Amino acid sequence: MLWPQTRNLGLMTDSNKILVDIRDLSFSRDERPIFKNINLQIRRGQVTAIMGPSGCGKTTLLRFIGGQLRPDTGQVLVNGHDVPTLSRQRLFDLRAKMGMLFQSAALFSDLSVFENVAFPIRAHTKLPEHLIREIVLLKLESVGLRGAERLMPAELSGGMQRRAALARAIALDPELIMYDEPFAGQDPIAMGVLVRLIRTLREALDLTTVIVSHDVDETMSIADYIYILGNCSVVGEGTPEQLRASDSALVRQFLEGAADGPVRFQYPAPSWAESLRS
Amino acid sequence: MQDTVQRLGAGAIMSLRGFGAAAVMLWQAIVCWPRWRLAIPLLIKQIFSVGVLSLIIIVVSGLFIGMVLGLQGYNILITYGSEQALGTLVALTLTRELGPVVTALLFAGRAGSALTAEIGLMKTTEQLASMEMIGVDPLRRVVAPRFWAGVISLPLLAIIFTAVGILGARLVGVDWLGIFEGSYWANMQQAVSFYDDVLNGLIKAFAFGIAVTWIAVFQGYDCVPTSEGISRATTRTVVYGSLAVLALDFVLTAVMFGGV
Repeated sequence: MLWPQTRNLGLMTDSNKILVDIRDLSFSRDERPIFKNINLQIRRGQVTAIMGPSGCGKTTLLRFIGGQLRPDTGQVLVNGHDVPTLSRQRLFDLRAKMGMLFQSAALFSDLSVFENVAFPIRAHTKLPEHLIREIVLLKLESVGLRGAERLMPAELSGGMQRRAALARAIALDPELIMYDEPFAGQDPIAMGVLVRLIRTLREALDLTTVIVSHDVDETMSIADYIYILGNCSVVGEGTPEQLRASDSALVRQFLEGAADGPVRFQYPAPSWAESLRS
Repeated sequence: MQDTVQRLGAGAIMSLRGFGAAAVMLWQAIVCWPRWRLAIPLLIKQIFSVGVLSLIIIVVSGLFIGMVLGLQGYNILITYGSEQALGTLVALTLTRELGPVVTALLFAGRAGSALTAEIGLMKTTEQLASMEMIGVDPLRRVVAPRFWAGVISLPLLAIIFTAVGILGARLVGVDWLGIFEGSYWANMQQAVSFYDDVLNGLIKAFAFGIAVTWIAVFQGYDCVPTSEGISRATTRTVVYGSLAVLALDFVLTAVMFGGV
């Protein structure tokens, strides 16, 4: 059984309080190291944020949890199952209890908003049509898009697309939901709505939530625990308060948005004289 | 010299890897027990998309190719006084060769490129990745119905192409150039064998359907997820698909009609 019903029983041991356990993970892309022996744990029912500068591998980490990438070495345990070693069928069974909100929303462009949200329900259940309709409308209501059920994704704004994708991600009441840059490119109203939605969903459904983001203020306001990635490893971790009090130069640079620090703003380049000569 | 050998070796390994990846993709896409309730509507939708929407180009091309065949055939046959054999010439040419081959080439250009672009765009916009994360295998949901739709549609389109071509040749030969209609149809009926000509033509169309659609879905699924990547993959579909059809045609013709 890939997803035993252990939540809310009050009987959890330390090991089953942890839903995702990443151990000694290393990964390179085109011989460029992305991760070197990183360790990271995501606890059930908590909002865990993964933050870090652009290109540090935040989204890649979500792809390991979802089994879309395989690490070079190390383990990715989800609910005790080593994801990279699962068979294709077992992997799809595991994913049925995960939800993921992609940065680009990734709605199916040939299906209406209603059909997009109904898609996972139709794929994994044999519910009658009237029940599917009820569930879809409830999910759409929770993201404020019940009135947009007949619209096609191309007719929605970027913020609305992301909310529709969120309704689809929670359609099957997943145990784990992963948000990839949920606040990127959002206007202040959409961002506020998304922050409230993520918080409400976590409280109402007791969702284990992973947020990948570099929006410091919004993420700090909803996260229970934060990992900061940089230089191919975890450079800081803790609760928002612990991180604010951190004296790590990299953590401070990231939280304060300073151009100078361990993370260089300039991509490595030869001297000006050399660049102008060539 | 060593560099050349290395480059050749690397190229060969890359090609083999590509073949292997395409074979694995096809295996994972089609070797399963389908859920009919979901699979049938998807298949019908794709048959409409790749088959029905290709009808116009197939019918128009078939008509003109048949008319040209009728005209050229008449001009050659009349020098030997055997213009009454026009029906035989047209029917054998279309059922054995032109019907399946030209339909497959047009199919690669019209439906194959569309399949590649559609799947490639779904990859670029993360729709395939999101489907995977929903726990639905895109190979079975996206690739398999498109593959089967192509395999089913191409022989049907080849039949339509051939039939329209024969009618086009009749239009020119009988109505315009004055060949006796009875001999046009009677000679055709006498000369064309169902097993040797029609069935072999259909087998060819079926083989081309597998080759072209396989190339199209693989190129889309394997493309680099950028606009340039989709453009290159679409071009590769048309080029590889057309070359595969022509090469396969020679092999099948040699086996079916060459006494090999």
